[in-house]
Amino acid sequence: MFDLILSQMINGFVWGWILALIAIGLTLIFGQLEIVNVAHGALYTIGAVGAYYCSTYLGHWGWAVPLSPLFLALLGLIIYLTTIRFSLGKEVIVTVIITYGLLFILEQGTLLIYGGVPRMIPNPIPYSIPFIGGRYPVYRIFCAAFSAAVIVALMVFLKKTRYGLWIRATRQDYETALNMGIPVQRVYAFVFCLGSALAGLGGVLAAPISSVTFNMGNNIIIDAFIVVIMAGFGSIIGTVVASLIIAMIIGVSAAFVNPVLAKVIGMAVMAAVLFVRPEGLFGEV
Amino acid sequence: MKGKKKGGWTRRDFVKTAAVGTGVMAAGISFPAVITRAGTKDPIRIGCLMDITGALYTFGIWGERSTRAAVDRINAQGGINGRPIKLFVEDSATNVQTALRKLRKLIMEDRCDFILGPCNSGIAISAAPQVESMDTIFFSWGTSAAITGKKGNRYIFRGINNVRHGTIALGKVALKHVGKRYYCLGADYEWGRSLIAEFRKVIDAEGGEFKGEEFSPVGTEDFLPYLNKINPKEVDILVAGYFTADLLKLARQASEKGLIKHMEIIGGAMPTGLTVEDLGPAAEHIWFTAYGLRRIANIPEAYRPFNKVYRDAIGLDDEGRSIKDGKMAAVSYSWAAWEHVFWVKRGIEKSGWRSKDDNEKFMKALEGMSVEASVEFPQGPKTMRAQDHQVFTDQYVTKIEGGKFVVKGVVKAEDLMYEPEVDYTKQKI
Repeated sequence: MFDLILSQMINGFVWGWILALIAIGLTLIFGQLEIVNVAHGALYTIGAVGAYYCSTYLGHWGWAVPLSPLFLALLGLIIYLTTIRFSLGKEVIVTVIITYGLLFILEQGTLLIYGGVPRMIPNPIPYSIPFIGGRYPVYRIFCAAFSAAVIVALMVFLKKTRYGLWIRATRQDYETALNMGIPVQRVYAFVFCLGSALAGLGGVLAAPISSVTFNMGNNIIIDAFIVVIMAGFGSIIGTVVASLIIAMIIGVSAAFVNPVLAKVIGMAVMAAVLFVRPEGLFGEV
Repeated sequence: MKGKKKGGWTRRDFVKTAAVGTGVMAAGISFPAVITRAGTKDPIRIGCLMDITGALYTFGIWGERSTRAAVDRINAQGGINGRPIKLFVEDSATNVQTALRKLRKLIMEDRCDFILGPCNSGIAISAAPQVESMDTIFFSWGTSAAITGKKGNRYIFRGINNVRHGTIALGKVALKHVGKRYYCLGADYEWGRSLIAEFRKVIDAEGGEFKGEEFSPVGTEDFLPYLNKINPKEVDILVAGYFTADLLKLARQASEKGLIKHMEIIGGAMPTGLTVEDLGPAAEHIWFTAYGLRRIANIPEAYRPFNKVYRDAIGLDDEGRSIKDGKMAAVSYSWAAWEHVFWVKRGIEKSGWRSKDDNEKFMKALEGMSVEASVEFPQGPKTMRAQDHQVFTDQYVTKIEGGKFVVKGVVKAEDLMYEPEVDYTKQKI
């Protein structure tokens, strides 16, 4: 039983880093723009689809690591200019409705172009290591490490660069930032592009683990929202911590109960955290 | 005139007038019905409810194409009893609530006489009480055993084998080659649970040793939490009640975990729409039960010409790929959608059905009907059992060897027999 608990916990820890990468995009967009982006899962899906096309037509999944996020950033810019910027400042429910419509457009567009048949991408690191009586795929360990590296790089960017400063300043006080000459609209567009790119990168990493289907984002978006709510909207560190906690709790619980029930336990933990701290673990009051 | 009262009606006048008046009224009331039943040129209205989007998209697209092609063929040949078919198509989006709403629209607004349903067990079972209350016959190609069991009714017909046949076939062919200790993982919905339940009966009867079971939601991304619970030293067979995307993920992740070295996967459903490459390293460790064969070379020679006509009609090549875009089709199932149209045709022709008033005659006509392999029934000969409206036809077991699907065994229809759970013939309409 101890072996089972340990293997579930470690699998949860690994998956938690991948989930954190996806959830960070969501929390950045809400923290900065106050937009609840329900279409985030569709952006994740498009990233995974990009990974499939790179793997199939360019010969290796690795091309998708730079190309998919770049494409998603561009797509994010188009979405921002044509749709999102008109919903800024509106009530949250309005942004939910708008992004829900976006979700349909993106999902059906993906269905039209990519099709409905699920496809697999060859595992770029097709090795597994001996692990607690069985084996564990090396690729997942790579994903966790890569996600962690990207998140650290993001935090360094936000702390140490001018654009990062602009982003933090705009989030803190929009009007003062505007009066100080910060190009607020450009910052908003940049954040939306960045969030979209992170979602796409999450899809690229997940694609070789799962299969690529046109609606694969519908499952992950729920987990991402749970993490973001529990962390507190806008907190990157909180998102990482919450993601790892939730993923490991679900992992360990799955050793004792059906993994579906384990997710229910995860949500119960989220509810308990919100009961004690309604603003989330790292959210501001 | 003698007997005529001055200025008034005689008794004879009254009786004559009343008789004529009653006759006119009676003709007037029955006039529309007479017109309806006598309207031999009125189209037969058939509703086609398919999963054109959603998780079962592949089945739905090819089901719709097959249905349209069959309808076009019949109309080109003059219709059924001189009446053309008018087809109404709706998308269920692989969602039960959506399907029921569309079903009501097809029956109540579009006034469909028959409904050809999707390859979706959940929808079929949910639709069963609805079609009964709306007096409309429904054909399903979902494969959960319950559809033509206790959850069905006399309005439901199924022109494809079900999971019970599939697991019996797997039991007869595959179990000889693998061990007896088994663990079950299945999709947590009607079909997955039905498959696991049926397979457990089969393997337990062969002395199988049950090691555990779990069910995961359709669309599960990570199967490792489930696979971690399997002790490879204690399990010879992993029974996988999954289709398409979930089967791919499970096979891949089981392979990465090293489980494939120790056990074989007995998959419930031919991975419709998928290629050998999609399945990855686990491909050659999976046994499938097949309701139809994707490669024409594997089909019995006598049936190949008929199957070729069907494939040409919907644009498939001999390997089961779409001629238009090269993608793998759901050909191991979609033939049922084609054949359902011809079951309707045969039922109407045999019973003389003209409207829903003749539904019971139609049911009796189909109950016990046997058909031979033909262009109309390209999958092969079959019999529609009277008691449960379930077709019995040959079932195949396949495996991937050398990168191609090969047939490892064929179990004849007569060896797939089981006692019916119900007797719909006793149900009053």
